[in-house]
Amino acid sequence: MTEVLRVDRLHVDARVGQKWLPVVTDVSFAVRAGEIMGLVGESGSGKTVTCLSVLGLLPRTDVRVRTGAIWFHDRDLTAISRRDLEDVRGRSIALIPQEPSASLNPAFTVGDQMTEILRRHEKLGRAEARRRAVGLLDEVGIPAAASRLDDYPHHFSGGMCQRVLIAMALACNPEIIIADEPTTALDVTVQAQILSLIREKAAQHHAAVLLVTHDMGVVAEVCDRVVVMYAGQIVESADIVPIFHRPRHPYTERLLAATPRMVQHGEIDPPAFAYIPGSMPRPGTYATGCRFGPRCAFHEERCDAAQVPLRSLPEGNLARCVRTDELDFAETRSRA
Amino acid sequence: MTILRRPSVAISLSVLGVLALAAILAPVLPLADPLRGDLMRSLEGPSAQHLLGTDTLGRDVLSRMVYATRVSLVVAAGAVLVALLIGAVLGMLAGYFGGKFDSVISFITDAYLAFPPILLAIAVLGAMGRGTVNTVGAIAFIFVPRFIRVARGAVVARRGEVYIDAAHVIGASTSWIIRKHVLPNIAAPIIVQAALAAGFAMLAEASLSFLGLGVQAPAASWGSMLGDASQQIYRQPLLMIWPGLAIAVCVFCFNLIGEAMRDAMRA
Amino acid sequence: MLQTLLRRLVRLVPTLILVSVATFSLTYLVPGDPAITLAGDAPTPERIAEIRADLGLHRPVITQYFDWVGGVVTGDFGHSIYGGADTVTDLIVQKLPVDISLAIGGLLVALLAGVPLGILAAVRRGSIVDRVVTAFTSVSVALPSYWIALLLVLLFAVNLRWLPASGYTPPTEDPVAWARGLVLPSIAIGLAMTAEIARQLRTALVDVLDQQYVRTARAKGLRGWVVIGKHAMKNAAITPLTILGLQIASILGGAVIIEQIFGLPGLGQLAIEAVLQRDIPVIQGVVMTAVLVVVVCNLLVDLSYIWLNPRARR
Repeated sequence: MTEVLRVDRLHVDARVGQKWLPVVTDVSFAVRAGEIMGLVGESGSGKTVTCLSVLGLLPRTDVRVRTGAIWFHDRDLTAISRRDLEDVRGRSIALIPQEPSASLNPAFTVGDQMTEILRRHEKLGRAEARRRAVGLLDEVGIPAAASRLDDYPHHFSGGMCQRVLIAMALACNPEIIIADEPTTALDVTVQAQILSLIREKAAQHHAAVLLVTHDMGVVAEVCDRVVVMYAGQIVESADIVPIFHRPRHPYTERLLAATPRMVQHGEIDPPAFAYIPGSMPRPGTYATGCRFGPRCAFHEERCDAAQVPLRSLPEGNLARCVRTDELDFAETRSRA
Repeated sequence: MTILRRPSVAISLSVLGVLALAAILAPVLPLADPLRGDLMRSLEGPSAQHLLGTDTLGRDVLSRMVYATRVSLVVAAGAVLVALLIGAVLGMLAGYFGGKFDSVISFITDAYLAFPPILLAIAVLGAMGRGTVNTVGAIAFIFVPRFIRVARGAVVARRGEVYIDAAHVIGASTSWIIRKHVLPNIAAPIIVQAALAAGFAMLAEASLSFLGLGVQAPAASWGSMLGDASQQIYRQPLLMIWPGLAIAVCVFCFNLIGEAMRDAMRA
Repeated sequence: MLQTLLRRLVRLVPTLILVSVATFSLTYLVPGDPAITLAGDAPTPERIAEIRADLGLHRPVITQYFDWVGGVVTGDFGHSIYGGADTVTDLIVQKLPVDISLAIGGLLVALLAGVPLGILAAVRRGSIVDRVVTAFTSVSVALPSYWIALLLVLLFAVNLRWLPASGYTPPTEDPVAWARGLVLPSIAIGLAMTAEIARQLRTALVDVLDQQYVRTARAKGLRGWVVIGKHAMKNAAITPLTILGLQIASILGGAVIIEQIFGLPGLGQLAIEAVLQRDIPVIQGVVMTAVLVVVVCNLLVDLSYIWLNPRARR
């Protein structure tokens, strides 16, 4: 299967006050054509910085790529000119942003914002662009699309705004769509709809998806493969089924345990609501050895000895844990 | 009072302080007589004897500048003070008592702001006649609505506070409540507004005097000196630099202080 | 839109009434006989009596007021007390084109200089460029516009002789001379506006550029100048525009002095002459005109605010 996007040993620094601190450390992964890759982690894990760096959307005064490359076909997105990057954005790589209501310009109609992307990349005339826009809005399930074209964003609910943004992302048939926590700001009832819409439309338009989220439940719904990030590093990477049945990193296991689930009727002694004590270290305060060590239930002295490398495991997944061969989380998961 | 440590504020205050000091000490300083001029030596450039040169009537520009400091500063400060007193009282009463009185005051204030300020001052001077005292009045007249707004706003923001009601309940008189609770709260925004207004008041006085409508000869302010200098632009262009510079520096300092205070209040 | 316009106009009426009362009562500001005031600086008993009869000062004040207002509404401000064939309205109409030219000139300067400066400072926030622009705006606000005017005259007119130091040529007579005569005055009056626009725009733009929808616009692959010029500006222009509108009043005041320096025969000059001669009807006429201009400008600003911000529409 061809790779659409490959992140190669990416190191990103962010400015905090006067200093530059590392927020993404040695991150590598690839997204294959047609698949939905999940990028999971708590806030502060570096997942958003990683995905926004692909499109170069972070202000250069505050964030910069120290080393590493982001390969899109044979071009390194961190090294191309601004003009070329602008040509790639929206057309080959699209973004579905967080906070849908805030992501649409309140001063312009939805139609205006939709046709502008079409006219920018595909040089369509105004009438043609409008027609395509109506078609797209229709596709994403906005009723009476034609009349909605002249409405302003504040006339749309949060879920509707997100549909509009999905339509915009699909507009030029990109090869890969980056979805940055697309459901975090939405009501729970709407979340499932949006997720299945993303999956359906991505398949229809033959686009791969890089889905960034903090919610393993979301991952379970739609992803084919998962990359778990913690404190700027990848701690585990695997296909969807193995990672849920047998996680190889303590942090992944805790994330899975922390996912709320419905108590089955008649269940005796349901497991208590799990949470991870402590909080993620901030950039610049990372431990020298394993960064998850301070919060890990399985922490031992040798975890602090040196930086833990990301190891390839026989099943094809990757894990950054010194004790991964000793620990077996399968039994704890089987209760779920 | 940490804003005093800000370099911009410290420098501004020092500059203004020096000017004020010069103004007060003028008669004692070793300056030439600002009113006596040697017509044989009019419109000269800077020299050892006349550091800033001489004006049309042969008077020493430096000493005229120093004496003009008095007029400019006093008129600006005076106008702001008068406007502050009238405006703060009216605003406070309007905010505190509300009702019809408040509506009328607010309405008048809004209408006020439709007048171009300089034009208004000119019109007032036109009716009342020119002169230094009238100028103070005219400029104060322009600034009253700003102070009303600020004072009223500050009072209205606190009108619903519990401690006001509590004071009523324990039988405190209105004047006592105003003195103890309302005044301290409006003091800060009023002072900020005063600092900001001082700069504009100075510009206003300079404008009016420049036009010949404000301070009249033989008294001189920087504005009137600038007005005189503008007549001599071909014969002695240097004349207009000093008063203009003085005005600009002073206004700039007032603005820096005012803005620093405003930022400090917001924080 | 029309509804909003009408509503705004209706709200203006009480304000205008108050303003007219205030303007009218200028005559009565001075204690003593208004006829003496109106008779100017050297009144003779016959002149005073004449004025009395002429202006109907023996009638009750209210009647006089309504007479005056009636005139104002139909565009008749009465006559200058110094006689002459022109009515006050004629005088005003003659001088108005000069002020309009100056206003357009000043606005052009302010927009051409202020907008790019504001954008530059915002986009390069925190850099040297930003600091220079900010320093420039702070200093400009403190400079008396007439001082700048004098310096400009000194440099360009006296020393370099590129532009005229004073005088005004109507555009109908000689457009080139008209334009040349307006360059220096426009810069003088535009400088303060430039600083204000640059500063306000920078603040608004810095705020807007942080918004999510700007990031979305970038993510769509829109060119940088489109993102700023279209998406950011439409949202950022609101505040500077409103502030500018509120400043029209002060700008008009500054215009008075600029006209004096450059010898432009506009309303400012008329006002000053009238004040020096205590020609009350002319003063009243000029003040009312100025107020009307301010009011109309504020109305325009209000309307453009609604256009810029769809959420304010009702």
